[in-house]
Amino acid sequence: MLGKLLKYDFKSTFFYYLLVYAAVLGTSVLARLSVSAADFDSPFQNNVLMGMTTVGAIVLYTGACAASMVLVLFFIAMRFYKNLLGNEGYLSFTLPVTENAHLLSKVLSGVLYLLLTYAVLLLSGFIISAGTGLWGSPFGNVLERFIRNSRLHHPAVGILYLLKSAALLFQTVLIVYFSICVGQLAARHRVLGAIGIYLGVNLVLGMVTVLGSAVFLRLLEGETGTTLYYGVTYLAEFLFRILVCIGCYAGSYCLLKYRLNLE
Amino acid sequence: MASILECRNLEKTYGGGKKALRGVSLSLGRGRIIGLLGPNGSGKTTFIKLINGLLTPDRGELYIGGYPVGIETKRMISYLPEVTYLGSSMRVHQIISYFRDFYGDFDEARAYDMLGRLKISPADQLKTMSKGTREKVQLIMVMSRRAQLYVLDEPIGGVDPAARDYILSTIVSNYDPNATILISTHLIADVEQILDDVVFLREGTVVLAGSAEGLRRERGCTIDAIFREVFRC
Repeated sequence: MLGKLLKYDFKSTFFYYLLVYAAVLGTSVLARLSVSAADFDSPFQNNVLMGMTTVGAIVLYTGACAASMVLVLFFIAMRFYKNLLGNEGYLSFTLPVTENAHLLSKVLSGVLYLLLTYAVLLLSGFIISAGTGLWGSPFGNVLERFIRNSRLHHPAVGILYLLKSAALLFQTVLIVYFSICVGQLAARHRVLGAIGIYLGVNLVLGMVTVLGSAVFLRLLEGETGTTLYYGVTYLAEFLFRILVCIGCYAGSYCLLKYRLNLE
Repeated sequence: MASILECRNLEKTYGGGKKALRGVSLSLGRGRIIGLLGPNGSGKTTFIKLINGLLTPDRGELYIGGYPVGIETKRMISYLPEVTYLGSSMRVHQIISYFRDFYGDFDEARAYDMLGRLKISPADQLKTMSKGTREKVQLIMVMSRRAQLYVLDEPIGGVDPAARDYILSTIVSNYDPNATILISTHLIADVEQILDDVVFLREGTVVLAGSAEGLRRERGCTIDAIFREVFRC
């Protein structure tokens, strides 16, 4: 049944994501063409209009990237709300399917769409930068320096970084779902309630993260910047995010099973 | 034959202390068409939601086909809610595929046959249809299942008299003699002729229950007249 739920989750929303991805990739191609046209060897290099077009194309591309992250989260939230807590919930929750399967299918589809979005953003970055000499420039060295300074080239640290990043994906989606589940308990203004819960949860998590970072800085004084420091920090972050994921999943499951409010 | 639905002392209170059901005890026999009758706010929809697992009772027991409400009972029940619960962007053939995927007892051929008789194209999108046509599509999906219990919440509310006649005739003509149909409505006069049994709910309590024919003979009037008498303002 989980496979069938995933199939319908993807079928019902893929078109909208496709539009967003097309906008990001389309603007990246536009930006790349503009950058190439205004290159040092180009006959247009001193053309003011060309310069303005290039800037405009880059701004458009940046806007598309920012909008894509917001829209993808919006689509993920909308699908969950409409399919489980809107009128479609009368069908979803009367299928011979457990609440667990419903929740898991939404979590997996949400995470997969987030991954796909990051992949599209990465691809758009390559479209803009490939062959322009960007990677050999000081800007291009930033990534290499980041990897080195964060000790990501160390296998264990690199794996912990990937694990905590994966946990962040699940956490992002689960906080949205948990907020919506709490919000639906209200008789009125459920969407507003869900947004309030979402902001509140993120605020609390942000404060805990800052506090945790300060504690670790203190505990690992003298080890700052070392492989041990980054390894311990990433491990702690991974474990914390897993706890948040478990809490949000369990909370969402209980609310859907025992406090479902479709009206 | 054992009853399809048994409930004992069902209670449900909403937030704010509103008691929707107060100690409801019922037994619904198999192969019957049962009218769940009562004015707005009498607890009909709450009872139906409890049957379908959309609400959890605060107290009491509820069994369908001998099982507590869960996956097994959802396989047995075909439910038509008052609202349009199908995605508006779905096309008819997609809805049929959806029902076929999730319900092992869904009769695809029967669904296409009923749709064909109404001249509804499988390529039509739900959002392009009138309210009445959407209601008919939903009803066709529900009645195309070979369920043991059909639960229809206000199936004829909000549609024109011709559509009501079609809906009622669809219910009766696709009725499996071994299955039970529970129809919740306050349009008694329209459904009375097809009911075998009736249950009257008022303020979350069963005030009257029995065979429709028996009540008509006993009181010397129609079920509609009994309803007006029982629920007189």
